[in-house]
Amino acid sequence: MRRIILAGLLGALAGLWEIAVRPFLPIPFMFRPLLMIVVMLLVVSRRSRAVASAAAGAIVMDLYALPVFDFALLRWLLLIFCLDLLIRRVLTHRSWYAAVSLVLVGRFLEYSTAWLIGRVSFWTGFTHVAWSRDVHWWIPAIWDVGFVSLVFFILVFLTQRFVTSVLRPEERSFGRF
Amino acid sequence: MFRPSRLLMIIGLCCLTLFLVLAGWLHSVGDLARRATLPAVRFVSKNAAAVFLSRSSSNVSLSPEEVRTLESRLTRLAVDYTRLKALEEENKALRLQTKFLTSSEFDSVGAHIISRDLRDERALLLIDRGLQDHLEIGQAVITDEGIFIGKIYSLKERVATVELFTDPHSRVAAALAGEQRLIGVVEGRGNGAARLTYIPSSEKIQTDQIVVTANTQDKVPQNLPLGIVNAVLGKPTDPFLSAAIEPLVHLNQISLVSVLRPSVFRSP
Repeated sequence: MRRIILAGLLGALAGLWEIAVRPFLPIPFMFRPLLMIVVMLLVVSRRSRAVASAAAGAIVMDLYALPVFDFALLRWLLLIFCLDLLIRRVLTHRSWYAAVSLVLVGRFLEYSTAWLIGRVSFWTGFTHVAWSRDVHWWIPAIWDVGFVSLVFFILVFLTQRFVTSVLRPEERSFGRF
Repeated sequence: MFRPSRLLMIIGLCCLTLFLVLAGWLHSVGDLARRATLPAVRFVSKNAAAVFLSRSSSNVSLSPEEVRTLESRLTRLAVDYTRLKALEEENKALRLQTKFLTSSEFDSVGAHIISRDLRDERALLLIDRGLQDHLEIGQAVITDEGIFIGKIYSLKERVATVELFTDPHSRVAAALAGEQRLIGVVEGRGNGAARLTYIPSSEKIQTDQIVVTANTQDKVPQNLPLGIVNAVLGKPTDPFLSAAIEPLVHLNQISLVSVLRPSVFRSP
């Protein structure tokens, strides 16, 4: 329980970063940490902590959202569900490729759901400010890939968690002719 | 993976929350949460702005041509400033002589910018003042130097959104400095640009003239400087001219603002 609370605090800090620090950063440093944290927690199979950190971060973002109608909590819970489905059914192996694919799919889903909610609320008249894509949308994606790769390799180095214990068939001595 | 029952529970919870949000029943919870978290958000954004805005402003590089243009503009403004200062002194003396009572209709309340969205298509700021500070939609927002930057766009109990005059949805009635009458409307063009439109072609407008707010909006006092004319666009035969307006302050470098509210809320 304590670790779930810690994950929630980490998510809230990430949300705080996204609303109160990121807008003041120079463009190349405008990274968004919440998705990176959530994806790494999913990669190491800490689903409940991932949900806690996503929910806490989304609540902070909802509290201080600019007048674009957004429902970050709903979006992020949906995102977690999709990523969890993906990691269980498609990207079942734990590799660097899987982690990077997961974070890129996550970023795409995050933008897509924000666009969908923003557009629907604009069309239905809930807001007069339409959601618009960030011009530098690819900068957070680059940071996502970099951060996830770095943390993944650090985890491999420190914990030996994802090192394969079985040799590939062509490298087995008994399989050679 | 999530079990079907748990998934249904999450979906149900989300739907219930969405319904409560749309019905407005979670406003008080949101206000309570904002009350608890606003000091932390204010602290973080204040420090982030202090660190990163000062750093980015020191990295501004200008070409020699831009420097020359700015120097000539500065010289002209210095001349204007000297003349205005002399007039101000004269005005003060006259007021003293006639025992004129100065009473402004507006009072200002300072606010920190806690978040912002300065994209090509949008120019919005989130400030740490709201309904509890007697703010209203449409009130003027100025910098420390008294330069108009925008108006209050939306309000919550403890926070408010400011729409900068460079936002494509913003419209501000404007006049030329020193002249009282309305000359046109400042329309935001996004990306830090604005344009003064609907200028009657009979008006004599020139580059480097200061554009100020006009006295046609209830909650915006007149004569607040907002920009400088960069270029006049249009042919003499056109019914209306337009002018490119350059803001007097770097709108992406602001961290503190003041909101002008009616003076009845002035603290004793």
